[in-house]
Amino acid sequence: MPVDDQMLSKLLRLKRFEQPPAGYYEDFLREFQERQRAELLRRPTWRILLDRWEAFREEYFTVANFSYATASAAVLCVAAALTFNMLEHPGSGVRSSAVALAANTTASVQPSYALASASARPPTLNASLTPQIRIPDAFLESSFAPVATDGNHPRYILDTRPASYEPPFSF
Amino acid sequence: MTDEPAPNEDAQLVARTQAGDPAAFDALVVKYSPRLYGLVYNMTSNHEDTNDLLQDVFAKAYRSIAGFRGNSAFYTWVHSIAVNMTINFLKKRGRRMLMSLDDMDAGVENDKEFIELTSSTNPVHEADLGELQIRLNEAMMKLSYDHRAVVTMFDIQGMPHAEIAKILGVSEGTVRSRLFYAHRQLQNYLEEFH
Repeated sequence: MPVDDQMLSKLLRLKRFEQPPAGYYEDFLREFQERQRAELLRRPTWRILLDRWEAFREEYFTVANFSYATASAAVLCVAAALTFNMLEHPGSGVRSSAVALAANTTASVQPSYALASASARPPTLNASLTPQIRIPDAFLESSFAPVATDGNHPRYILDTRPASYEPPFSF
Repeated sequence: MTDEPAPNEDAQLVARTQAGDPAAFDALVVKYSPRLYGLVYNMTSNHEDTNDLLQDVFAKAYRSIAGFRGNSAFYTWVHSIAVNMTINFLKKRGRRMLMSLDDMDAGVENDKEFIELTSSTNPVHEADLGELQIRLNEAMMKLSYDHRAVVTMFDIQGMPHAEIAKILGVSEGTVRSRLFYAHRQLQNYLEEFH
C-alpha cells in the first residue's frame, strides 16, 4: 500500500507522542544544576595554588593587606627620589653613606688571621674597615656658624637648610 | 502546533541571566527542554544520547549567553545550537545506529490522527501502526542529517518554514526542497514495508 503524503504527514506527527518517562524533565533540570556546580568547582591548578597561597598569607601574616602595597609604594618612592637626586646632582650634595660604606668596605676589608703562635695575637681587622661617613659639603658650609650682621649682634640662625632631611643610609 | 514563544519573557530571562541570575536560566531550561528534547531525540532516535546532548546544549548556551545580543529570538538561537551540536554528534557517531526509542505517550490514543489511522475504515491497524512507527524511525535514520533536521522541525514539531530557515541559516526555498526530497525518500522506504 503506497504511503501518500497525507499518511506520511500523519505518521510523522504521531512521533510527537514519543516522550521520555514521567519526571524526566524535573530530573533533567536537577542534573543540569549539579553539572553547573561541578564545572564551577573544577578550576585550573594554578588558580587553586594561588587561592591557597592567599589563604596561607592571610592566616600567618596578619598585617593588613593594604600595608604591603603601601610599604612597597613607599620604598619605590624613596628609591626613585634618591635616584633622581643623584642624577640631578651627581658631584655634590648628599652622597649616600651606604654607597660610601659599600665602596670602602669592599675595597679595604682584609681580615688577617694569625695562626696560633707564641705571641698568639688575636686576629685583627684592618683599621680602614671602620665605616667612613662623608660629611656633606652643604653641611660644612658654616650653616651653623654665626653670621655677622650689620648690627653688632651675631646671628645664630640657620641661613641654609640642613644637609638633608632624607634618611641616612647608615643602617 | 508550536506555541508562540513570548519574546518579551525570553528577553527578560536572558537579561537576568546575563546579569548573573542563575534561576533565570533555570526557567529557560524548564521552558525549552521539552521542545529541544523532541528535536534532538527525533534526530538521534536514542534516549540516552538525547539526554547527554541536551545537557551539552544547555551548558553551551549558558557559557555563550553573555555574547547573545538579541539579534534573533532566544528560541531561534538555542535551537541553532541544538541542531548544530546534534549534527556534529551524529557525524562523529557515524553509521552506528543505536536506536533507543521512547515509549508512546498514552495520550496518543486520544490523538485525532491516531484515531483516523486506526479506525476500522482504515486498513492500517493498531498493530501495524506500531510496526510502521518502527520502520519510520529506521527510515528517518537513513536520511542525511540536514534532511532529518528539516523533517523533524517541520513535520514532527510543526515549525513554519521561515523559522526553520532562520535556525539552519538557509533560505526558505532550501528548506522546502529538502522537505520534498526527504518525503520522497521516506515514502519509498515505507512502501517497501507494505
